[in-house]
Amino acid sequence: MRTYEALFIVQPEAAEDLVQTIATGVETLITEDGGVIVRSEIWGKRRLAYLVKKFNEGIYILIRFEAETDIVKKLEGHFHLNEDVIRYLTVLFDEKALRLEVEQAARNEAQLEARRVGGPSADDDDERPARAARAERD
Amino acid sequence: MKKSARSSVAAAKKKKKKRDQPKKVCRLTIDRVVYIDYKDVNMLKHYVTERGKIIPRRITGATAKHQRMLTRAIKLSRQIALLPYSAA
Repeated sequence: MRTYEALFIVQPEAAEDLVQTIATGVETLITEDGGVIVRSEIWGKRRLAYLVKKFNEGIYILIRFEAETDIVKKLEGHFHLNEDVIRYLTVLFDEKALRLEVEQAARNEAQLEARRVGGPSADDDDERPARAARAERD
Repeated sequence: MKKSARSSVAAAKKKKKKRDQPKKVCRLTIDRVVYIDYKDVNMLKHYVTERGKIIPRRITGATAKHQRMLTRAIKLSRQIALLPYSAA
């Protein structure tokens, strides 16, 4: 079993229930082959950075799952055949990536916490909150 | 003899020029970032130009390790249309 993340874009004119069916369709495809869904999120409509199949926006869906390697091929075949899915990306998360991701999340959390405790920051030359949080922590 | 003296002068000059510039330190190193997510567009935006090119680490001061992570994240992000390949 390996951990993967499938991020795909459904064409923007799709109705909400269609988006939902597509998402659950993908989930069942994974689970019926013995995969486990870790996380499933519908991000909603976002502007695309460039035109994809002549659409300039799309509905992003993210599914994180654990499954055997052959599921990836099946999944991508499924995406390929579905006309409403305009773009898809499957990323493998190896053990190291997973570990580092968790560590990074904890770190971001700690910084946010430090920021909250410290109150509003005086150091505001950056739009990114991380910098202010770090300045207070150090 | 003469030649080597001249080249060492040139080398010194070059060195000096380099030292005159303030040392760039990457935000990622200060923040001790260990993982860069390809989905975090707001963060990745800081490492591409307005035309969408990846900013070299000579400019950002990113460590080789961080630059590798950034590059990978930016390239994945482009594939799924979160970041542009080119233009604005």
